[in-house]
Parts: sequence; structure tokens; C-alpha cells
Amino acid sequence: MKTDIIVDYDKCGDPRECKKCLQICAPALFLLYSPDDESDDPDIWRVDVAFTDLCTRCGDCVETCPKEAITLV
Amino acid sequence: MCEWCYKHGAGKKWYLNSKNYLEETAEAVGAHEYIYELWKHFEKVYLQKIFGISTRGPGYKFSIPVVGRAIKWYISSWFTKEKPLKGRSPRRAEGHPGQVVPLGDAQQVLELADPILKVNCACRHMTRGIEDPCCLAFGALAEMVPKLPRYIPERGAEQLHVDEAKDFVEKMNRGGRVNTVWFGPVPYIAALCSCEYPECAATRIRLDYGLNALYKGEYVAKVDFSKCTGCGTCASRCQFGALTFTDAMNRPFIDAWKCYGCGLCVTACPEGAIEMVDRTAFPALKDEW
Ligand code: SF4
Ligand code: SF4
Ligand code: SF4
Ligand code: SF4
Ligand code: SF4
Repeated sequence: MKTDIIVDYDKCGDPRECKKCLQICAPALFLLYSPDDESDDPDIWRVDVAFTDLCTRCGDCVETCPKEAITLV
Repeated sequence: MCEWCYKHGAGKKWYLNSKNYLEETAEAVGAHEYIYELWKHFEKVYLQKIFGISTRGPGYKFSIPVVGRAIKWYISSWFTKEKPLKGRSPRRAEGHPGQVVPLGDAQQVLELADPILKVNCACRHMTRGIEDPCCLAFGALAEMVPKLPRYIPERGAEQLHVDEAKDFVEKMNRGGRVNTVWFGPVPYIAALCSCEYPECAATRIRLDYGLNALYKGEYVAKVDFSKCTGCGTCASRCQFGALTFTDAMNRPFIDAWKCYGCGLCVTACPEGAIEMVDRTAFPALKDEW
């Protein structure tokens, strides 16, 4: 079954401060990246979920997120 | 010997050819611009560019009959691309594959590299949001670090003397990190890394999707059963699923097809019962990289 992991960026805020989802996910499916193409040291960082086909739907990320920003679809 | 040893080894293993570390080689392939561009966009390159469109569920894309295999072949071909900078895109990590090396070879690499700078692991920053200074950057890569602060460790990028660097990679190896050497780009050698699955970006796409960003090493591990006491210490060491410890026989078995030649099992064994054998000693593995 294909899983989509949706992150609500309005709720998430600064993932470089929080990074709980990055650290809880056993198969390391979350990635931290900067959507800003030109900046060398961007202030805006985001988490996104890659390799969703490897997600086991364990639910750890949803449970651990303090801002309730993650939804599994 | 792998194809690079023939092309860039001058009769040795490619990573032991001192020419591949020279400033002239870096300049000939445009390593400075390439490395800056690739590292500046490292996370995005990985997230979007490697897969052309996006990394979302590449497994599904690759499973499409015929088309899936074509996409996979195409992406794999990027890593080994050998062209001058203009024909090679850092945004796709073209010409930037790595290879697993056992500890002894890793230490020989350090004798050829200069300077050696300890910097943060790009992959672990991306996958776990942590600073882990475990990458040894050389030459053109070491020069890039001050321009991109996220790769500078908290205590500052540390320049290591060759002996300190050798001790460092040994510590990494004993702790369970896989030593890998990286083209940046082919044939210039830019780094010696200490990797772990699943955090390592290249190991992830190699093991889970069969993309050749990381090559197997030049060796295969072999157990000497006359020395093995069945202590089981090696059982948890293999990140590649090549070593299984069977309870009934009280011994480890190594699947040479799956072995990446990292030698972590060798350094773990208290009896010295595992040794690294040159891959060429196994004719069946001739094309297994
Ligand atoms: S755990 Fe939630 S708030 Fe924290 S970085 Fe992840 S998505 Fe954002
Ligand atoms: S559900 Fe589990 S496996 Fe899937 S992304 Fe969340 S933590 Fe990772
Ligand atoms: S290749 Fe290995 S050590 Fe180098 S940046 Fe990636 S995980 Fe870190
Ligand atoms: S068996 Fe596993 S741990 Fe030992 S060298 Fe091969 S890949 Fe490395
Ligand atoms: S660590 Fe060495 S002695 Fe112990 S089981 Fe493995 S091969 Fe045998």
C-alpha cells in the first residue's frame, strides 16, 4: 500500500530546532532541506518525506511530533 | 579490480593512485566548482534531482515494467559519468560515486591525501538533523567547507595530521562505521567517509533501489572455521546482510555475493578468524561491484 506522509508547514515551524521526526523514524525516511535555491546558509529549512514506499506506517512520527504537523494518508 | 582501477589506478587500486589526489587533477575536472555546487544543494540534489522528478516512492516508479528498468539504468549511469565539468551536472551528482574500503586501505588513502579536514557528515545532517564530524575531506572539498557553514563542526573544522586521521578512521571502523572513499568528481578523490545504513544517502539508494552510487569494495570476507570459536561477536556487524550467524552450527557464514568488503566483521573478531580476500579470487564475482 502506498503511504503519503504529509507535513503541515504552517504548524511545523523550524525543523532544525525540533527534528523529532527525523530522529524517530527507524528507516530514516525524513529529509531536512532548504527550499531556497540561492542562499548558502538558509534560514528556512523544511522536512520532507522521501522514499515513502519504505514507510511501514509505524506511526512513530505522528506520535512524536509536538505540533501535530504530520498526517499519514 | 574494478573498472576504475583499470582507468585511473595506474596498475594499483584507483584510490591508491597518488595522481587522483593532486591539485592538477582537481583543476582538470573542475572539482572546485563542482564540489561547491553539489554541496551547496546537497539535500535538494538528493531529494529531487537524483530521481529526476522526485524521490517520492521511487520503488513504484522502478517497478513499472521496462520503463522502470530504463530509468534505473539511466540514473545509475550518472554516478560514473566521466566528462569535463561542462558536460557533467553537479545537480545530479554526476561523477560522484563512492566505494567501500577496508580499514587498511582507508589508512593508506590518508597517506596520499592533503590536507585532511574533519567535517560534518552531509548525509546525517540531512537525514537526522545532527552534526556528526566523521567525514575526512581532502583538497578541493576541504576548501569548500568554510563557504558552507552547515558542514563546519561546532568546535570548528579540524585539520588532522595523517597519524591522527589513521587513528580516527580506526575508531570509526571499530565503532561499526563503514569506511568509504569518494570521487569528487571522477577521477579526483575528495573524501574518506564513515558511513552507516540507513543514514548514508548512497548506501540507502544502493541497497534499497539498486542504484550504483556506492560500489562494493575490492575484497570479500572469508571465515577460517578452524580459528572460529563461535563467540558470535561478528553477528551484529554486517550492514549489508552478508553475514549470518547460524545457531545450529555455532558459526558465521558469509554470502560472498552480498559482501561489500567493508571488513567490519574482521575488526570485530577477537580470534582473527575472518580475513579479507581479494575479490578476484572469486571468479564468479568478477562483474559484481
Ligand atoms: S516533529 Fe513535527 S514539528 Fe518537529 S520537525 Fe518534525 S514535523 Fe516539524
Ligand atoms: S510512519 Fe514510521 S516508518 Fe513511516 S515515516 Fe513515520 S516514523 Fe517513518
Ligand atoms: S557518504 Fe557517509 S560519511 Fe559521507 S556524508 Fe554520506 S553518510 Fe556521511
Ligand atoms: S561480511 Fe559484511 S561486515 Fe564482513 S566484510 Fe562483508 S559486508 Fe563487511
Ligand atoms: S567473531 Fe570471530 S570467533 Fe566469534 S563467531 Fe565471529 S568469526 Fe567466529
